[in-house]
Amino acid sequence: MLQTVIVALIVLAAVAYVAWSLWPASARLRALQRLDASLAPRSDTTPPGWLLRRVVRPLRVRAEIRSGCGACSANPSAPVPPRLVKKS
Amino acid sequence: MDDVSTRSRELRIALVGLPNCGKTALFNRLTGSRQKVANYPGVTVERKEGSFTGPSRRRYRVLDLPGTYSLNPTTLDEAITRDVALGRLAGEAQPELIVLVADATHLALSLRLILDVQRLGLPMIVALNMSDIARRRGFAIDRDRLAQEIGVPVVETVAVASAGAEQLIDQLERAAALAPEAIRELPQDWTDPTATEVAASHARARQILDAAGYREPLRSRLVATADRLVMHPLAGMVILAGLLFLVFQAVFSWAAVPMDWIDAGVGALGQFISGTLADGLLKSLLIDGVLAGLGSVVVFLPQILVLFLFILALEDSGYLPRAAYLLDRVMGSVGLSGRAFIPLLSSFACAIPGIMATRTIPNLRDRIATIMIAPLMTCSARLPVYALLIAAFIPARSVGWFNLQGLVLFALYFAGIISALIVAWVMKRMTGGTTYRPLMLELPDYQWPNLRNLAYGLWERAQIFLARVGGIILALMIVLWFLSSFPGAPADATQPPIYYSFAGMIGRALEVVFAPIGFNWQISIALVPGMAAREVAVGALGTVYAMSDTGDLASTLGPVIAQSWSLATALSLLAWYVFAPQCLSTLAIVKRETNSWRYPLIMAGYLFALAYLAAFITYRVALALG
Repeated sequence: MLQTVIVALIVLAAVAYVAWSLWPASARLRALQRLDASLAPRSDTTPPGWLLRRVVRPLRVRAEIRSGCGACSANPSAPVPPRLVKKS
Repeated sequence: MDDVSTRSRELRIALVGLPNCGKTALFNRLTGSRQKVANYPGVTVERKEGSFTGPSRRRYRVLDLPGTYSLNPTTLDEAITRDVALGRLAGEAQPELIVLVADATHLALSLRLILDVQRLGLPMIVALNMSDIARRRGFAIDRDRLAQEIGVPVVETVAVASAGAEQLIDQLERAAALAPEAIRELPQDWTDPTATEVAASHARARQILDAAGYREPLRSRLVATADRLVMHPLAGMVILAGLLFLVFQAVFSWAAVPMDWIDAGVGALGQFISGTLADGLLKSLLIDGVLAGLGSVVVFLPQILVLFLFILALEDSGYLPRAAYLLDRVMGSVGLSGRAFIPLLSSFACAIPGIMATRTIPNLRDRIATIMIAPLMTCSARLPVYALLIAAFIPARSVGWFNLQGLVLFALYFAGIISALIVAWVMKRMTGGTTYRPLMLELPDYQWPNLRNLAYGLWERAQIFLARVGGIILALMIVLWFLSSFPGAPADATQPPIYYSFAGMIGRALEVVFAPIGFNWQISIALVPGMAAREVAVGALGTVYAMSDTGDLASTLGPVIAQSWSLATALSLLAWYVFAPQCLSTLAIVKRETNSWRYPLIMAGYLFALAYLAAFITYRVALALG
């Protein structure tokens, strides 16, 4: 039973990743910008705030830099997002 | 402003200069390994951005802009340099200081650009780059007098040497304190120079060079002799063909040992997982899905690195511009612009940067023709497919001095090039544009490839490949494993379970279309995820055959398909991959670069039609010949 649950989670994550990767870059960027705006007022310590800080913002930064079709990972000139510097 | 905040504030610097004057080498020297590469949104060209901290702890943000001969652009990439320098590009602040990288071996040309950029009114430092090469060739100039004449500091740099930018950093530190104040007084209006102003600028450049006692560097006799041979219409072609032969031979022979290591590693990992986990879904996912899929792709890493080792070494050595010159006549004969060579050459790595590089072609019709044929150049994603099929079906024996497998690989690359030339010729006939525009480029000196550049380039390629394997390919293999495992086989099944699965249903539906070209349902399944990227098809075949009765691991995919397919099917699949546009990213960038759906649709249509036709002819001829 545990194996089935683990496999189901892995398959769901893979489906989500493939769908996300093959979605048009501009649509991905728009979705992230909307999500960022809707989560923005939350505190960093609440789950939505944590989601914003750890997931949405880094993905948005990446999508903004890589929003072009030149973002194919086979492309050596594909941009790399800046390092996220932790505040002390 | 206090001292600390002044030092901590970033200063925006732009590197401007002629094409191939060493801007990027200087950029890398200044920024080390912290640089990032970015594309501007919209119809723009790439620029590189990085940063470094000076001895005074001031931070500098450096932009490496496309090479240009003036601020009066003729191509899209030159326009971006002008727009960034003028602060006209949306989302990009105007630089506060220009480092004009002047090629000391072509100072007269660089000086005209210096005078052009001076009209912007931005603080500027001139970096006389490649001064070591120029001096060896008898270059001489009174640097102080030059600085006095043009009114800006002039430093000598050797961007490829370890201490090559120290003087420049010193000058930057001095200029940094003044730059933010200077930018507030910039003239707001910019007009392109008139013909009279351009002529006056040329005359002024000559005058400055005379005043500074400029002695033009002479061309080395050795280089001149080598060029006579390398660029000779016949001898040059023989040398080029010999080099390409060597590359493809090496791809098979040099990579064999590391490929065996990876193969053994994947096999050992499979044994370990098999012995550790109890039979069940998770074990099947890890062995048949993940390991079989990824193992069959990752094994080709050494071959990709050997190929790029040669490409990078040829780039660094100064040979490639000569090859461009040599092939210019051939390109012209099919109606392509000489400027198409570099984009097409880039397409051997990946069609995407190649298509982006067509921005340097001023004529729209020439640019579209080059974009349309770029996917016919054999990109590195095709290499795993070719290598898998060649290793499985072509015996590893010698033909004269050559390895037969290497010869077949060479033939496949050659087929791509010849097809591209034929398509370009047909396209030009159809659109009526056959005016030949000759290639004009500066030929750099020959040099030994820089080991650091080679190592960095190979590391970058390995990272790109492994990121794909660990990202989209891994995810697709997991999804494919799921589709190949469910629903399960019925009780009275006579075929392997995958035959009754979702993937099996898709494969059997597609088999109707692909049966005339010899593809079975397993190949038809692999072509579907293979639309995301060509090499995914190899991983998909690994998973599909691991899920079949054979039950072998991906590392043994070659022998499995050698037993399951006929030679005609293998040759047909090779012919398919020479043409098929199985890369969604390429079609997407064509849409973006042409700002229209028309061209990607035409491209996909004609390439699929060619792929089907070529595979059909290959399969039928192979069957007829037995």
